[in-house]
Amino acid sequence: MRFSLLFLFVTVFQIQASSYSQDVKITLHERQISVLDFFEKVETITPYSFLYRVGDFDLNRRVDVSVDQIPLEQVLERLLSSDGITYKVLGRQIVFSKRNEIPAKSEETESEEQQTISGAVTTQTGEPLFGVTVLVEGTRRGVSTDIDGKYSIATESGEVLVFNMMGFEKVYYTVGDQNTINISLKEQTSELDEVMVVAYGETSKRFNTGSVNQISAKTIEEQPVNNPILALQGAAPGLFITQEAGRPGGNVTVRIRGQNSINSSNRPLYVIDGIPYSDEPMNQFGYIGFPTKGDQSPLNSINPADIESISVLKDADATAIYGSRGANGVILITTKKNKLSGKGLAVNVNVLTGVKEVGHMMDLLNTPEYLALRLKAFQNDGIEPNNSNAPDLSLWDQNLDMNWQKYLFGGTANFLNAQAGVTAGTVKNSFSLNTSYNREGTIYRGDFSYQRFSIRSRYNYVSQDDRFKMNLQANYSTDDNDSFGGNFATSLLTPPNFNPYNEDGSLNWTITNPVAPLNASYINKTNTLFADLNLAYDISDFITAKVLVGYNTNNFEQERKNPSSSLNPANVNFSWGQPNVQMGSTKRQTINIEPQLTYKNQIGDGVFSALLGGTLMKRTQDNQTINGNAYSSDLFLDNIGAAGNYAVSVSNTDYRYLSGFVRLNYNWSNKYLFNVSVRRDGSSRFGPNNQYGNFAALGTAWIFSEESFLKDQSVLSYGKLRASYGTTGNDGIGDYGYYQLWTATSSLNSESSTVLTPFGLANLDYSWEKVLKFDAAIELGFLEDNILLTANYYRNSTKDQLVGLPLPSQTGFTSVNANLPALIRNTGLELSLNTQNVNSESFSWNTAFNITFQKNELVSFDDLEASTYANTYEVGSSILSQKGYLASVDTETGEYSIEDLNNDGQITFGGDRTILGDRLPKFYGGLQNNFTYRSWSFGFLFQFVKQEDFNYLNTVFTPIGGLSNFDNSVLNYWQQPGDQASYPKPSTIANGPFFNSLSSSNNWEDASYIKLRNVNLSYNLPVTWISKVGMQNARVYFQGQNLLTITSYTGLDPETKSTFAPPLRTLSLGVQANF
Amino acid sequence: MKTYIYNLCCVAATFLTLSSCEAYLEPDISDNQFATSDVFVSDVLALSAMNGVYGDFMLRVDPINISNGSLSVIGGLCSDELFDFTQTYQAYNINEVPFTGFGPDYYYWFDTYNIIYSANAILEGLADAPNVSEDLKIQLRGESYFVRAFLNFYLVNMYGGVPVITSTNYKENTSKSRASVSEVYDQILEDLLNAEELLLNEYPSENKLRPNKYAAQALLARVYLYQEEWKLAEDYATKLISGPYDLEDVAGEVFNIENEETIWQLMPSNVNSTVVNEGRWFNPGQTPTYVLTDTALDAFEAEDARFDAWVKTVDYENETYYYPAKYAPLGGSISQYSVMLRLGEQYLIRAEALAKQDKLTEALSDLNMVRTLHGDLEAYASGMTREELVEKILDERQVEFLGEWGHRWLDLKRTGRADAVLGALKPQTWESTDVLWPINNSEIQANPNLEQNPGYTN
Repeated sequence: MRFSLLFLFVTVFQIQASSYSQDVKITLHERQISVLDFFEKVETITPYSFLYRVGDFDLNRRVDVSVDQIPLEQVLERLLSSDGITYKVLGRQIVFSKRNEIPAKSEETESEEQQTISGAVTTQTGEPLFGVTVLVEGTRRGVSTDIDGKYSIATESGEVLVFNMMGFEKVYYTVGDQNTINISLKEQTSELDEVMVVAYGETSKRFNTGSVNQISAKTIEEQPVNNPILALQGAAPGLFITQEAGRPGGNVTVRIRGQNSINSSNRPLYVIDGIPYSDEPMNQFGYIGFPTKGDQSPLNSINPADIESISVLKDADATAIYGSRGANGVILITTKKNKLSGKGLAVNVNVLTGVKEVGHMMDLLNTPEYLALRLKAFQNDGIEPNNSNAPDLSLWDQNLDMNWQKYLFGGTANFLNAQAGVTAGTVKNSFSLNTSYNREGTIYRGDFSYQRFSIRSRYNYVSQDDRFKMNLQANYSTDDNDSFGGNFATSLLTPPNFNPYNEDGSLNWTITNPVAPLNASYINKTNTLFADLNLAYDISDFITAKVLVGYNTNNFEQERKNPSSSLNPANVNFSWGQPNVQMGSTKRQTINIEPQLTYKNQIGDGVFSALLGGTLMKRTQDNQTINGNAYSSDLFLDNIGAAGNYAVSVSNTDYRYLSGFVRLNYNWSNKYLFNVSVRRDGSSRFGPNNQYGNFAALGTAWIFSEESFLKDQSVLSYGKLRASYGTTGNDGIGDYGYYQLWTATSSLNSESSTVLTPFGLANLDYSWEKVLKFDAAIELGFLEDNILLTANYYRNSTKDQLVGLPLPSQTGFTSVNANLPALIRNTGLELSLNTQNVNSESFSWNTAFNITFQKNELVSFDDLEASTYANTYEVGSSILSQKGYLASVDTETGEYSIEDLNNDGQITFGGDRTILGDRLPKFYGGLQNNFTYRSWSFGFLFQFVKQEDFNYLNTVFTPIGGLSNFDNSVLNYWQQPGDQASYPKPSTIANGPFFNSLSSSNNWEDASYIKLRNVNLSYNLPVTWISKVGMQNARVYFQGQNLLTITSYTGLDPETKSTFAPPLRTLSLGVQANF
Repeated sequence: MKTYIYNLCCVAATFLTLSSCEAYLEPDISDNQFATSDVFVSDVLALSAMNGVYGDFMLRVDPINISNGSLSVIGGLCSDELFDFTQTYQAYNINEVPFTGFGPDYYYWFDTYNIIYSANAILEGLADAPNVSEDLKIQLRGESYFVRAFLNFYLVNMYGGVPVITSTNYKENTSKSRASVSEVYDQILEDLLNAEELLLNEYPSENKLRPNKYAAQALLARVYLYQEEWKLAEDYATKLISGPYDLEDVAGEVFNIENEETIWQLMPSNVNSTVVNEGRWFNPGQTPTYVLTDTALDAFEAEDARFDAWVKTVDYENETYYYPAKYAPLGGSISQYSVMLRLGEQYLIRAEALAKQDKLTEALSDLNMVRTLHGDLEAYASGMTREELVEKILDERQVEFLGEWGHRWLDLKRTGRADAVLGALKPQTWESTDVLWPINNSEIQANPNLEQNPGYTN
């Protein structure tokens, strides 16, 4: 925030500063040079810098200078005496003032009355503030602070100094007889004026016409997460984030304002410092469970500590400028600028260490309960248990009682997160380098770890005349996820009396051995390079040309090794039953070029600004998998060449994108705001006749609190009404769908070694999916903005649904790209309330609360009954509705009975399923409280979600009584006629009613939860202690994540659902210091 | 000023380039992919497309499909031949075939239609392929018809009437409902007769890896048998028996690569692997896998040479289990290919067709050929009634086709004995409607016009 304000400031109050002070002589020959240019020349050839107030003298006056080795002071005397200007050398600064302000007589009285006060101005956290005006009240005498926050001013005792800077509260200080006055300024508490990063620019919450939420670095830093997106859980209305499974690097699902699309991508667009970044996982194969959940999130390559802010853009006004990619909202990630400190070199260090563990486990049956259930099942079935159908009853130890959850993932993962960085330079020329290292152990049984190293450098250059700006940054990160190649989602349901080892120590394979996957290694490595160059040149005072060039490459390698110790010897006749290796490699490269022209000028009573720009993007991806099979020994697994046989498959894609856009913005008297954006996009994902789409949006706002009729009251300090309407688009569907493609593969079972097989169906006719977004909000501030309330209504309608249209297999394939004649509407109400409850010198308390109510509706679907979606959706219901049978346990027979809804005497998939509920959360939100007391600060965040889903039984394909463990609620099974039970009588036979019951009302339940996402406590060490060791500030802190979950869900966790490991409970301690 | 103009030009140039770059949006097609228009441009590429079909027969992502030999296991489990010791396909063993999730019931349908799509795509591609030689076009069209018929034959026998798909046009095919069983057979016959006309007697490839005219005729003989067109079945089987094939007289060598009994075979293709798929499934590891039932074992007469050659044992937890051993286990050099069609079946087809036409002497002679040559058993003496003879032929089929292509399952169904035989064997779970598999829910979901088979609607 301070940095952009700083630029504003510079234009008002020109300041130049540099470092050392000593007497120098200069040599300079210039004809008709302006005073300003002269100053700049001198600044470049001497260590002096000049400090003056614009308007005190004519900077454009032309002078001739021709001096050789003349002391600087003499030159200045000669040049400036005619302006009535005097100057004073204060340290390394030469401060000018009008001669009459420091009257000659002062020299006489100086020794007695006038004194020179010096000192430093900092923020409350001790960072030096550059450019603060220090003015003697009632006079025009003033200076401003230098880059170190230092100032020096001549005053008299009793005079009042006013310290002022935009964005900070003014401080008045009466001078006594001291020589040093150090001041810390408090940031203005109104969030309304904080800089808000939006698409292609910045604004403030006050003047924004769109729906945007910004999350600051502070919020992100408070949370001990590897993936920065996870720090946003519960932080903003309209933003819903879930973690797929509690494993490092795991994928996250992010939805902004519900689900717009049936099945093209619902992912928001991620933009890092202006460059789009793909969050699509690059896995060639997943590896946990079904559906597989082993994907690695590319967002994990971003070091959370590098982030300055994250903006969530939601409505058409905020997103239409991103055209076709803005449909699902946009997440703008802005990385930290170079943070200059008072000294030439600033160093920061931050170390966090702690533990992670599974916070909640299921109550599974113990061995006696389990065995009794099994016997009962066989009894019910009238089947005799034997070695084949009941090894648990006939072969295994009847007394062994394993807690498989504890055994497999009951461990504690230690983690370390260390950051160090340096920054050096000046405002015009600075450089920074930041590194981070993360290491996380594992909760699983075994020696696994996740490591990430990242390095980020940034070079910033501003020309002397401020017209040319360059920013060059490069970010490299590498992560190494060393894990095991298996699936513990189902192994926790292994019968409790199963001994994974035989007497001789070998693995027991009577059933799928849950320990075996630990012997298989799975490693994935990601290398990400992100580099961008940002050039801007002020062609005139009003026009700036910019070009942004970004290059991004992600390399992802996977390797799974299955040695014989991880494989069931029964499969030894299969090539995959012998030692084998699976390797995947993905290389994704993106080049993005964005030229822009901006114009800004005062027109009438307002400020008009315009943006004209274009985007040229090319993304290629190369995929490769190698399966090496039939190794004769585990020893050779490291060498793919030693495989008995191997298969290689490769594919690659090329995705291109071309657009032009215009945005016009007019701010009329800070009261009426208009914002129009138009974009034309072309995407290679559509056939030749459908490539282009046009998107546009209009946003308006009225700041009614600026109207005169509201000026005479003190309750309402801020009021704004805003609305926007527009279209965005979506091309989030695979490449080449308009070609009927054949793939070349190697085949060894025919006469030619290369064969061609059809790859998919072609559809020439599909094109953009369009989202019409309407958004209206009222923003209110009360009591000097201490209470800020925003109520935001949205209605997003998506038409021309772009889908991989599900097809019956009889067409040869199971889907084809197509637009559906379906209209989906997402509506919602977002409320957020931020209050400053207490704000005194030593104690403050803030509360931030947000809640989002949402609804999804399939408004219309032409010919739904005849489509492939006939059995999936219903007009008038949510597209996240789940259909299923109504199942119950027959009180007489104790078996599942499925309700024959259409009374045709039979149970059919099409006719007897009804909507069980809606997976879309009905509402969700967060409650954050922050307290500071002197050097202490404390905060906590609760996230709450109201939702429904299937419980874990939905994915257990074994009936209760079969060879699988269950949670102990199943003991309430049907026992005798007349029983009202939710579970049927135990049986080992999986029959039709059982399969139908899996996705039935019987397994559908409330999956709401409240999670204590975060607790943080931090203590700033007293400056008196740390200054002795050269530190500017230092703090120690505690952070906890996912500490508590309150839910009634049957399963491991309502966020990950089913039996996947939940987001891990994290407890950590850290130290941070700046030198 | 100079830089000003220069900058302006730069920006203007960039925008101009952007707006005039239509060609920019034509992406490169992936290096290993071809648009259809680029496939049927030469003999080599057209042949690659045909070979892709045979590759798919054997090698799918899924371990189990209708054409890769898995029916030898699954068909055996559904009938009275095999017991699933692994419990992997227990549902099939107890005839409670699921219709959710992804098991054989799904893949037999999905993979099969995917290969049918390829055959249709080749037929369509060849229709407009001026650069492919005429001879090759005729050959490939014949093969495509044959492949389509082969797959439809198994579809109709597993599921009953299925949608008949003869084009790649998904817009037409997506809502097609199920044809009747006889309509499916009509299509099979039409395709086979086309194939018979187009294909040559000579094999187009080494080792009988691609079908010739005889392969089409062999399948025609089987289809007519199933249709109870006895005369036609007899005539077509005769074409094979009098053709360039000979019955093997050592049971243990029937499945060897060079065997003269083989009419059509495919190379196992689990990537360079040296074992046919059945070899993997049946040969046990430490534990038994798919073991023979008492019914299957009892079907062998004492002294049947096929018992020694085709049945082996494995001991586990003090019990002995028997398993089909027609197929060599993994290891060593490759000795077998997957035999898709062989002459032994043609003798038994003709025997049955003759018997049904009361040509008992000739029928007995054909039956005895198989008995004596493969089983080293004494020939049956004449004097059996027609019914007795048919019974003996079916018994012979049970032994001869043990663990082979699910013949037993299909025979029980076509002869209407499934209820009697399986109902007695699996009294708790057998229902008359189990003769047909269910259609997977995901298919019904995607095509509401598909009707589920009876018995799967609770």
